[in-house]
Amino acid sequence: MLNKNEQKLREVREKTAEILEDLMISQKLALQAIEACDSKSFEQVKVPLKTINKKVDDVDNLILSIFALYSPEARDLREMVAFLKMTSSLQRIAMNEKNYMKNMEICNPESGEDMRRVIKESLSINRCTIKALEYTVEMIHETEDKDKLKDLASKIDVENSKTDDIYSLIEKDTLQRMHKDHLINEEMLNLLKYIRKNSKIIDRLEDISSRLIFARIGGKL
Amino acid sequence: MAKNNIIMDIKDFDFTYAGVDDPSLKKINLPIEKNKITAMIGPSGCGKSTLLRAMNRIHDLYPGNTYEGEINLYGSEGEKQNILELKKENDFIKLRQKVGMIFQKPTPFPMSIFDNVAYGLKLAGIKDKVEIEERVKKALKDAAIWKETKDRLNKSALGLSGGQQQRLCIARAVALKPEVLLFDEPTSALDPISTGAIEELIAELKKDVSVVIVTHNMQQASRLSDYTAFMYLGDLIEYDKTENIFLNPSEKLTEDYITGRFG
Amino acid sequence: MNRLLLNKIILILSTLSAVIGIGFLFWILITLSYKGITSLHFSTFTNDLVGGGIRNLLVGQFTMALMASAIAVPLGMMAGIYLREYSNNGKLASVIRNLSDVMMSAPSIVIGVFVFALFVDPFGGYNSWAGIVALAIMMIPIIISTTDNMLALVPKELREAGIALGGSKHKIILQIVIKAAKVGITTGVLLSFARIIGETAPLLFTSANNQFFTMDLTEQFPSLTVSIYNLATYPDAESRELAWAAAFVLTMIVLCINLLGRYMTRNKK
Repeated sequence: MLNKNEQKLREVREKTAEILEDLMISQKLALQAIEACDSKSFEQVKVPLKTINKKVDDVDNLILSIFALYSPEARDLREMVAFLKMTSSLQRIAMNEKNYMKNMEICNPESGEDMRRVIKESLSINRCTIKALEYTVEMIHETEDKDKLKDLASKIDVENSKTDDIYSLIEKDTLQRMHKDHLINEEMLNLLKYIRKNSKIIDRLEDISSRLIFARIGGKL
Repeated sequence: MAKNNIIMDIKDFDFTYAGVDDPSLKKINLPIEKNKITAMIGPSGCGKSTLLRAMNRIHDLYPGNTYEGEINLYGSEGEKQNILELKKENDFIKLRQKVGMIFQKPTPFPMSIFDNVAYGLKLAGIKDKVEIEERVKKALKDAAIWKETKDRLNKSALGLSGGQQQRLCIARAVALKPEVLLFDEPTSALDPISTGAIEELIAELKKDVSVVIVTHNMQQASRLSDYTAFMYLGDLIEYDKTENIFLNPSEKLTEDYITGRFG
Repeated sequence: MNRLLLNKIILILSTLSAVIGIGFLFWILITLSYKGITSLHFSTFTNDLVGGGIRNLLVGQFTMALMASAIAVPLGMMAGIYLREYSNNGKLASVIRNLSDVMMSAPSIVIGVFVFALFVDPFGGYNSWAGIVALAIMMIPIIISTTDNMLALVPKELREAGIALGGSKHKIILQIVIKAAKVGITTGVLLSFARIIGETAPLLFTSANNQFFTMDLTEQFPSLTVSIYNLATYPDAESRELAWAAAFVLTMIVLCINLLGRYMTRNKK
């Protein structure tokens, strides 16, 4: 009810959006770096991720103080609980991105043509993830229009399904080739693993969007 | 010691009501920070109102009370004055012009709205009509009640609603430009909407005055205040920043009270 | 069955009592009005007692009542203020309150005799001052009591609020507390006035009566109530008629003052 309360709620939203934007920058840098297959710029990608843990702690503590001081109810309560759960998802996304970059170091100008082809195809997943991140940030800022929120949520859903499809295609194609060549390429299998783990990011984004729907529209957590 | 962030300082303060054997307040040590809101919470009978009323010596209306210790008021140059040593009526009057009080029950005087707010000014000896008018207008604006009263300044204050009357009492106190404002459960007799309006008002006021508020409503203390003092049976159990008291209190007694384990 | 029957019986009995009580009241009023109005002429108000009218009696009664008020109201109010605001409910205060209550129920004739001994005998005869003093003695306890009680109704927070603004005690009492109790105190004054304007015994052997119009307070003074007492016992019909007229006028006066008192306390939100 007081201005202080409103201010703090807004701060939570903004700080969370900031974390998502850091993740987005990191993803975009990763996309560029992998397209160029230039392992030197891989280090750059990790930079935005370094401060994520501290930022997440800040948001957690902010939410905690809001609970202690303002006893939020109804919509404010749902929002704060939703954001509290979101921060752990965000931390995991950051972890996923770090690991992905570490693993993608196998992509360099010396790697085989097949590898590079598969990697290029898998980049569509990254592009979907970036789109989903954009939608998620928009959702955080959209506090009023319920239809728009549902719309954004379904868009994230769509991107998620796309990544599933892309991955299935890549997997099928790769396994077929291996079968044809009677060759089990360890490296290639690992690559598939890394790609699959990367698409977990967008799964988590879908979690985040459903929590935002709970916060803004209602229902169960 | 540089004390320019403290406006009042309670040191080893004991207080015993007339005709009672045991003291109602025991060795209280409490600083009041300048331009901040300090809340005093605790179950009924813990002494929080008694302590508040000692801070403008209003206990002296009723003879026979005894006290020990110091309550110091710091002036703008850093000069310190123990208000417990005041004896002359003039000194009391000056003290109460610096340390104002708002009560639980709204207490409009039986006169017009204008006269109510001007009363303290007239008591202080201000005679210039223009000055009085200006200060009344400013006080009513600061108390967020100017719009509702500007067209009926000459009507009786008793015609206002409860929430408006309480804001009028705040305007009356603020007109004197006090350094400290003491609030004794100011919203417990009001409905939630008036309560919200007055809480907003108090939050605004801390720019110009230092606020001490006694409340039995813990959420009010946690929403409004910067510092909180928890009292129990005449003792000050814990004093800290509000966020610490409500998130991480040091004393078990404080924690039990805040979590509602006793009343 | 028993309970229902008992209920009905009690209901009937209480209604009957109420009706009887009101019935007597109406009987008195109707008789008084009838006998009074028929005895009223224009000359009743223009002539003095010596001429068969009540002009000097009305003026005299009011004069004494007003003079008594002039003495009793300030004394009574100040005593009431002392009791409530200054005395801190000590022993002296309770003694004063008890005495005041006793005085309120003192027989008016005893007060009359007391004043006779002090103000009539030593001064060589009936005089109006004695009557005024007697009336004042009757008024004071009532005013003390109502002032005390009306001030008690003013919440203590109001006083504290005034003090908290830097007011001194006497200023707060004068400017705030008394104002807050204004209506109650005024009503108390009005009602005590209505009480004494209808008293006979205090005037009987203090100011007695006077047939003529006079404003000389050192003499016997015309009194409406004493006249009714005298006229009612005279054998002639004219006197009796005048007694009825005077009684009716007195009743109307007291009634009007009481109604005024009620009107003043009507503004309770």
